[in-house]
Amino acid sequence: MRGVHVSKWMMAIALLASAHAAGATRPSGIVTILQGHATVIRALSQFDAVEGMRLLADDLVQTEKETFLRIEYEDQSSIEVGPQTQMQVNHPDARRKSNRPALYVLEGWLKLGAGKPDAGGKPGFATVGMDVVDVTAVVVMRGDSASREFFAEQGTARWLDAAPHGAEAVTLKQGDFLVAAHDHQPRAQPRPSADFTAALPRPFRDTLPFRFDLFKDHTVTPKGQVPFSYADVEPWLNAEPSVRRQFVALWRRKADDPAFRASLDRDLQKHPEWDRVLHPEKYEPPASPPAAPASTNPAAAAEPTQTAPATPIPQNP
Amino acid sequence: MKLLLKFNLVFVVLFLLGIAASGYISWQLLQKNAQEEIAENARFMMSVALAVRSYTNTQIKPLLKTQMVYSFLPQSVPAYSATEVLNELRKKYPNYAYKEALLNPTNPRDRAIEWEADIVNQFRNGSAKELYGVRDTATGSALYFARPLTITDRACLECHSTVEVAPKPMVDVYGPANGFGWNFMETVGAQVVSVPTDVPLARAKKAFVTFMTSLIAVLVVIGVILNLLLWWMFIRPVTRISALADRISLGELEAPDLRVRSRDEIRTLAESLARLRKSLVQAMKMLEA
Repeated sequence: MRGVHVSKWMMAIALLASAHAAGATRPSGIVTILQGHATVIRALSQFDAVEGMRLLADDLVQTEKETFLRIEYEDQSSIEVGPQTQMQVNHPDARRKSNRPALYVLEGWLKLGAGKPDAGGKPGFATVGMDVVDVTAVVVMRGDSASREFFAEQGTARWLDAAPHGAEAVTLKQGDFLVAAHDHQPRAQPRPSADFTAALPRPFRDTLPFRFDLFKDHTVTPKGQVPFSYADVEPWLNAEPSVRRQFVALWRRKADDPAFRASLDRDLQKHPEWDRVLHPEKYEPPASPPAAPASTNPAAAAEPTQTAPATPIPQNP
Repeated sequence: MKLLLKFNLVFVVLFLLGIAASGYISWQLLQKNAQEEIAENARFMMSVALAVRSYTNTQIKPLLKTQMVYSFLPQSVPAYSATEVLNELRKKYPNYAYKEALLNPTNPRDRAIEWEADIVNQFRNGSAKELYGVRDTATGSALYFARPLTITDRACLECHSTVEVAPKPMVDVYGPANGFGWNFMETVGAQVVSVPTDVPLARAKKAFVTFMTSLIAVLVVIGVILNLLLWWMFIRPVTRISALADRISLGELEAPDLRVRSRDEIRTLAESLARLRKSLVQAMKMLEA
């Protein structure tokens, strides 16, 4: 038994190590173009993005109005981010444990360019409740609270509903345009809407040169790292469950900040997984009562010991 | 008839013949040069148009490829670029014109008018590779130079074969009725350059007038100088020698000899007259003796 127990621990350690190694070897992108202002949230800090800086896996990026940001990877895949966009950066080929793409767009504009055709990856990105996978060339997305729009500018892609029994998958051919909103099956249209075309960020209309090589041998250290507030990350804390759960472990120490904690507690119903962090006492195992002395009353000895009812574990929606 | 008059008569005749010949030759030469200049201007404009088309096709069109997915940009079309560049030129040189005249154009402004359609049809019939001609315009006479527009690049058919294949943003702008149905190796139109003829011809005429005027002036001056030389070097000494001979013939045997400084035939004549007079005086003395 002891031998089995040890081997289980060793296996767990090995798994953790491999997971860490996988994260550590995830390719990092470089910000090759930045017009305007963008903020990066990494670990417990936030700082301004600058051209030439490397973005690590799982960094959160937020752009402001009239901002354009381009991230390039060594395999020539690219992520272009439009104004007022929030995204979690990962290489387009990366996947989460749920097999959803790790590159995640909460809202805003994204233009994903697949890398070299012979790289062997399957680029894609995820957004609220849906994924775009198997991108062969270029896909553009606009997303807001109401709907998501996808345009296969070049090549093909597949749209998937992330819900287990959701809408049917849709294959986008070059030129196809798809509007995905709640409560109806999205259909591909042969061309983008006039509104989409009119709103398209200007830099998205051009094929930009690959600039990775200009920055790859330089180290650009972002400056001015400051802690982020609840307001800065509220959209992420209240995102869909598969996305927001990662932040419990990542930002656990933020719960030590009274203001942050208070805000978390106030909106607990939106992110109930934080309950265990905010109110750990609810989840502590009940204290065992002291052993009762031997009783001469056979009836009392026969009664089962009553314990306090277990605190219900909150179920994630 | 006096010698000077005879000389001048001959000189004037030769002068007139020379002027006429020079005038004819120079006029023909200047006209030919003017025509060649006009044709060269036309060929130069055509080369500019072709260069703009090539630049647009090889350098501009690839840069606009992504934008064209979202909205049609006529600046990516070689014909549009060539026409726009040369229309810009016309703001300063309004008598110059360039048009890609098509029988079935996408842009209605490129539709061939009557005389252009005739040119296109000549090219379609295969009877010409280039055409030159002169026509009257509102601003004067113009030389036109035309070359056929033939679909030699299949990439052109991406926009001009069928409506279904054409980029939708382009159909949005120009509609489904124009500029389709073109075929590979079909002559669909003509590049037509028009250049004014007035300016070079006027310049040639001016050059001719200047040349002839200066030629006549020079010849007149030469004539006057020749007259003066003739009188000074020949007629005046001969007249003086003749007057002396008259005096001797009238008995003035002691009339002084003429002093002739030149060492030419006039001096020889004067010396001959002097010897003649001496011989005559000797003879007279012998007779009196």
